[in-house]
Amino acid sequence: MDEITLIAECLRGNPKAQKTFFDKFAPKMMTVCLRYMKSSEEAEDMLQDGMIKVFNYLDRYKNEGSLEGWIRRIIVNTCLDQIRKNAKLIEVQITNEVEHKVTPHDNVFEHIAAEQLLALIQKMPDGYRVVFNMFAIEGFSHQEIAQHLNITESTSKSQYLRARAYLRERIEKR
Amino acid sequence: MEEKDLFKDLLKNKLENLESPVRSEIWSSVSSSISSGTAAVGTGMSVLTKIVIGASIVTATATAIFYNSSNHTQEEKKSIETPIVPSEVEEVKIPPVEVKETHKEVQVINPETPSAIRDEKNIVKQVENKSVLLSDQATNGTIPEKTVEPMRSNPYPKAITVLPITPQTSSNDKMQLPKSSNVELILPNIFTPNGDGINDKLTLDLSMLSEASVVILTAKGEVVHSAKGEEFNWDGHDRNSNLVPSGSYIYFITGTDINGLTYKKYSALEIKH
Repeated sequence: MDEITLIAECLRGNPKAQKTFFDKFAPKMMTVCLRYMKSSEEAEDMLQDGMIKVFNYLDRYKNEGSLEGWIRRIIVNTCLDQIRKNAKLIEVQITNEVEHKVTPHDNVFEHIAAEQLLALIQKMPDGYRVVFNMFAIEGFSHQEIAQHLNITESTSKSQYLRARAYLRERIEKR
Repeated sequence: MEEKDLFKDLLKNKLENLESPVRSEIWSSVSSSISSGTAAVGTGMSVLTKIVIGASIVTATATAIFYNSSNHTQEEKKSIETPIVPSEVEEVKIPPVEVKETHKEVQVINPETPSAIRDEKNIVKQVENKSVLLSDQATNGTIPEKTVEPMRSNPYPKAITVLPITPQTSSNDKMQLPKSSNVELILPNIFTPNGDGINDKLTLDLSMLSEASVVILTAKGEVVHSAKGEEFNWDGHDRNSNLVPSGSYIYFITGTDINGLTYKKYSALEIKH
């Protein structure tokens, strides 16, 4: 079943198509949720809420850009909404400026398995995990991140650099 | 800069398409939330959802209309905030009588709210006093416009606005009185649809209400079940006939009691298998 047929069948309420659709996208979206949310329970909740939204808004998908990208945006926004609700999470303090020299050590990231990387991201402190995800993986600009999370652009930047330093340190320690 | 981008690209490549295991329970709850899903029905899920929402709006609107039409005095009380128009003073005598009637009704319906009724009595007295006072003033000619005729035909007896002596709060209390029904229903907050024959169904006797409707939601507000009618019986299966998972739910009951008053209650519901 191609994508367009799949969408049409889902919109018709065909349960088989809905299941296929879910199975096709849910695992990747689960990774997205795991990256943003603190616990896997929360991540599951977000996946569930997000996928319900996806199905409910499916009639608005305009076939512009990739379907997966469209779903991903809904999932990310669902996570961000939740994060905003957990308000104090983004209370970041810019006390000590983290060193963020870009060193050749960056290639440490090449030799780590994606699953391990994901596990490390999940253990990141709340404050910069979100910024890190949005900037590094979803490709938001710092300006967009600032708007989404109601922080300043420079906070977004410093949080990102801090997250990166954190990750590198953890990987080197292994 | 180049290296920074490299870092991003590396992460992105690694993580963007990484798949994580998804527990089958998640699909169960998603599918139960999106639509009844039978291809035979052929309805889009969003349409179905809309119908559910629409139905509840219709009920709410109908109740509201019913409520408004059966409680004219309500409107009069609402107008308390409108500024006084001296020329309407002549009508002052009508509303207090109606307020009295409402008060009697309320007395019958709400035998267990003596304090509220006492308040009402005071208000009614105040209204009467005020109206006498104002009528006196009127006959003394202190309010010259009092004879202006067209104002008398005002369908909304705004003249009750001469109630400035009534504290705002107590008038608000009064407004809420007829709103809700006093019907007491037993609202169970737990049941165990595990098929062991004990407490397998959530049963509600709604015979005290007309147009009764029950909606069961997850803690997140997703509708898992809804029904209308006098007798409510639910075995824990959602609209796709999947057994809903154990957890915390909430259910809302709305209806109209024998006096035409709105009944609206909710209860937490624990489902255990």
